[in-house]
Amino acid sequence: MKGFIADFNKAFESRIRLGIMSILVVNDAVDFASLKVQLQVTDGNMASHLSALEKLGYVEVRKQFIGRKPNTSYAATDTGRQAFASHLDALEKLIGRRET
Amino acid sequence: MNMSTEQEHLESIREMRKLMERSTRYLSVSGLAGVIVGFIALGGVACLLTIMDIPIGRPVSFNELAAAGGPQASLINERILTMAAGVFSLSLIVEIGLAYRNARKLRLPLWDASARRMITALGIPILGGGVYCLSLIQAGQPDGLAPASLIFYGLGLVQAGRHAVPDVGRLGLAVFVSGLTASFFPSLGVYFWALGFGILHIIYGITIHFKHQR
Repeated sequence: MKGFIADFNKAFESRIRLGIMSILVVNDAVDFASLKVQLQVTDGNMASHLSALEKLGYVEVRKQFIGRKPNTSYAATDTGRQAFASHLDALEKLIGRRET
Repeated sequence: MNMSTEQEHLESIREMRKLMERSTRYLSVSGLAGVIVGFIALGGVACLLTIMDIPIGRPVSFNELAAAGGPQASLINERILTMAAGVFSLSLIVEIGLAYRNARKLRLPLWDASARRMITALGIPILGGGVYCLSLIQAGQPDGLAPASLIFYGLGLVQAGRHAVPDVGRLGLAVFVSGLTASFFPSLGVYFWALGFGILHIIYGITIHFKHQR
């Protein structure tokens, strides 16, 4: 039992972080506003989770200008994708074991 | 490890699934709009046949419709065009209006990246099909209208289905097949139009409504 829990990634204990990663792994790059609408959280909350994921190297920030407006979008890095995938595997194993 | 933690994990997996789907697919497509659009198309076809004094149900090709006016054939083409344009713009208004309502209900934006992908996928074949249909009229080949419009529109829906609820793609496939079939039965062109733009939309609308919106 302990083995499975060891595979759990502490970075993904927050639901919002799991949500952010879920959206980013299936999209190329997503801007801040869209993430906020999808997850329905506040600006500050969103920003702190994003910067935590960025520090871990799971998410990269892309700043660009659309016309004159600065636009910040986020994308999952390869490290982030791997971390997310192994977290999901751990979840799956745990649940699979409970069901059988 | 107790039950409540497991429940939490299951719940978070469900939530992740939902987020993955919501962020890649446009889910505000309205089933009700599909039904209304279907009836608008049926109404358009019925109007056209009535104006031309053709009893509903009698086989009539677009060539005959266009020629029915004799020397005034261009006037008849205008009627077909007006009907098609009218049906198209009314349908567009209904679709956008009801998608707006759905988006508000789902608390999603009406216009976002997934909406843009869907509209691009659908818009290119529709524009292409529209131009091609005009060229058919210009060339005096109105019989090609029913299959061409259905085939282009059907392929557009197949593409759009990859960025929206999957039922849109299935409707596209059905419309596409009805267009291909129509190309072998020119005398039934008008009725294939009624089938593809009318009846299939009504069936699809009802399916979507009960499956996704209840």
